Amino acid sequence: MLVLVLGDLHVPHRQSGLPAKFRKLLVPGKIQHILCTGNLCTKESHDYLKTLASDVHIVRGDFDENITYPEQKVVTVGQFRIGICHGHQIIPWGDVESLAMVQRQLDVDILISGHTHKFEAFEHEGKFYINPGSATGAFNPLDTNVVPSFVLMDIQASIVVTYVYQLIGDDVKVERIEYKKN
Amino acid sequence: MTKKSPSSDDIHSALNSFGNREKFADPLNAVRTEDERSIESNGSDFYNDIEDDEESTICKSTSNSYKDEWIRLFECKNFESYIKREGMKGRLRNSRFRSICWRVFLKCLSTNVSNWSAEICASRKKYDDLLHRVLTSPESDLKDKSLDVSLNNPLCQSEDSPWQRFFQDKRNKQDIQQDVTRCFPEIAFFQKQQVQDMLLNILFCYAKENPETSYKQGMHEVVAPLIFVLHSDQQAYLHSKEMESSLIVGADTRPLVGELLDPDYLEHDSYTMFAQLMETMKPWYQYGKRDSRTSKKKELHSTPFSNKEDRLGPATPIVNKIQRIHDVILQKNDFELYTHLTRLDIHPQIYGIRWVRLLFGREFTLQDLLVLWDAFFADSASLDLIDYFFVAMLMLVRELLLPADNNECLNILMHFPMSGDVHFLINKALHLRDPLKHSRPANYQFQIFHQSRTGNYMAHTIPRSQSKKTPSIQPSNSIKNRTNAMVTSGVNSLKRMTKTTGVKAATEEQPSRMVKSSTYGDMPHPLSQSSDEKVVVTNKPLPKKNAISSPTHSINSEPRTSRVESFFTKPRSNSKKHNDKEESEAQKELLILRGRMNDTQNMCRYCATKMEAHILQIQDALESHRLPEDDSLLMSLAGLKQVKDILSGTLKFAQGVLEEDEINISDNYFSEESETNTSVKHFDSSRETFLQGDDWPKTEESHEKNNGHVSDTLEDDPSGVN
Repeated sequence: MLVLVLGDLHVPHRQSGLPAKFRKLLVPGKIQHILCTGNLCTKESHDYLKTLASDVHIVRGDFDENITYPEQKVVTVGQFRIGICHGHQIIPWGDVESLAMVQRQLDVDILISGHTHKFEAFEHEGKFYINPGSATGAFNPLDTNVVPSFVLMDIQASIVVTYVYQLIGDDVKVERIEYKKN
Repeated sequence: MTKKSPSSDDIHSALNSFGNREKFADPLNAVRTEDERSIESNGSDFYNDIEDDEESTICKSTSNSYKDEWIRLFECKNFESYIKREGMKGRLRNSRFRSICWRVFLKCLSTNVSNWSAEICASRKKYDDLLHRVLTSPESDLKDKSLDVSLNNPLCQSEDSPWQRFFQDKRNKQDIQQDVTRCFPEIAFFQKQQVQDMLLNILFCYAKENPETSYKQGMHEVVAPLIFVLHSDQQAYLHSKEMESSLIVGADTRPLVGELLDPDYLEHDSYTMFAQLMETMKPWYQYGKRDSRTSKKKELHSTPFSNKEDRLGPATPIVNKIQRIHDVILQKNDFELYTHLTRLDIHPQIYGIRWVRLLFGREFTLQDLLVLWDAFFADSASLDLIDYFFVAMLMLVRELLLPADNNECLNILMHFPMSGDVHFLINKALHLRDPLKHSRPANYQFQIFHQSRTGNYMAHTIPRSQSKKTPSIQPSNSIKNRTNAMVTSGVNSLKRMTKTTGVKAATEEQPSRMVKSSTYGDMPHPLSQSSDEKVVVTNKPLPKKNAISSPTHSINSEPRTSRVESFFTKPRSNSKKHNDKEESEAQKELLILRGRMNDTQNMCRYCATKMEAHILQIQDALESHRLPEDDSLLMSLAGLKQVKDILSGTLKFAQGVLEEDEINISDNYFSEESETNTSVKHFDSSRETFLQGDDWPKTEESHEKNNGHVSDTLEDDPSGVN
């Protein structure tokens, strides 16, 4: 089961759209679910995601036009409970201990958050944390040099294989990280 | 030799066969030979023996022991040619070794029985390996960490990526699954999850093994009957193993049969057969790659009104094949039908692709289909017979096709009327292929009869159609100009025609819808007429043609002929008005005649249903009485059933039969009918009198002839006593 994780597009405010190389990679028919960390910011971006997979879950970022998105969301895929949260609420932004708190609150196996525009994926106290970064490479107030990235999770029974796609220079670089639930 | 004289069981089964025509090969024949044998009952020569054996498999395969059948089919010297002959004659219909026969036909098994065990093991092992490779390897590839991540990731679009292959397979599987679930929905066997999974596996393995063909729609309906045949043979084996545990085949062959028909290897064996069959059929499933450059070139150079096929560019193997069947075999054997279909612009591939790709799977019920495949496979593994069978199918419905217009024709061909007798078609196909070797089947006379009647038109139409063709063949500039003129004039006249008919329809309110539709149907004629006129004028063969076509008027005045005639003379006549008048008259006449024919048909059908009901009643009564001489009675009942089948149209009435086959059919036909009638009367009346109990001796006297058996009946009848 393939689950696409991305967020912080900031289209059209900070970027005009997804990089062409990413667009080429993302074709319909492969991905079953999309988990989005928010800040899309417009309906058009949402519609684009809908064309890739019919099951799209979005949480609210601080720049989203749509105010009906929930602040946090828990999705169960296979054996995994996956929590999604944009991350601007979690202070300090991207702090491991604060994220672990949210993880305990939601009682999830995998916590996905965004907002920092910086890709991260790590295990902490047996739980898995993913930050897909910004798919468009939009700047953030602290950093103007952002590498566009998104994450694809292949969930098989109790194993999650995470593929990280980063656009470095003109090439898409792929990394592979495995997480096993215990 | 207990089988010397036909037991009443035999006749019973033969009788029953009339009721459901699908079950029996040639019921008429079966009954007749049975009859003959009872006449020349003695003489125990070898030939007779074999005949008897064969007969018994047709009539009562269930009473034939499993062992005997095996010995008969596979333990004679030249068993391959023997089972091939059996297959051609449709005698494998009730065989319990059909799947083995097919495997021999398709060369899955060699002709040496002693090698079979090894061969079957090898093929099963091959499939096991294949299955393992196909089902497990992509999964393990995906998890293979040694591969470069930039290649081995879900979004990689390179052809070499295992993920890409994985998605491709998934799509393929989905396609197959979709088709498999709706495969033979009317047969419960194919609705079982187990069978569907098997189908899916077989097709998927084949697709993986043959990436250039992959899976194409239709293949599932080729595998399904194979599985069905194997499965039923396996069940038959298990059954007889239970029933006659010690008797089942000889001790030395028992393990072999058990191995060949091992239910655990249903999937394996089906795959082997399918793969072998596809060796022949593979090209029929391939899409040809259209060479856009050459076809464009052709399109530029083609002239309007030239043959469309020429402009379609390079075709796929299947289209070529069908086109060849149509243009060569059909043209040679039935020119009238060929011209008719060509004139209506019905391309054979519209209906033919399905016929050939599914091996006529949609045109027959499964039971008939298996018999048909018996013949196809037995004939040769390259399935050559199909070409001729194709034409035989067309010629079977020629009487329906000839008067029909484009839509009706297509409708008939796409929803082929179930005609019942596969054997007739097979025999006809054989006859078409090799008229010297195979005599024409009996029913065929019906059509020959008609052909001889219409033969004189053929004589005229052939030269005419040739002259029609000549102008378009000449490659000259003037022709091009002329054709342009033809187009414009044709279009104009067409426009005029639509206008007038439209106005007519709106204002005059034509009385019958049929007439209206016929005028619409005539619309294209002005086009062909005007264009033809022009061509004709330049060539000046007009007067001659009229001279030719006019005698046909005088010679024939039958309705059929007038139709054919109007079809051929229509575009030729000089004055348009006159032509229209004539045409509408002919149309009206045709409508009336068609109405009459429908009435007669309805009557026949009604008679048939009534007759069937009565016959069944009589048969039941007879069976419950167990008359000592009920053989002859049942024979006559069989005759009646035959008449009924002819009336209902399920058995084709052979007109030639009356004169030529007097001994066989017409004799039975009449004498039996009368006999049954009288005997039935006796029977009924005697029963009546018994129930009344009064004038019993009187009736007995009055029917002296049937005296013995009437009294027998009465004594034997327990219900009557009570």
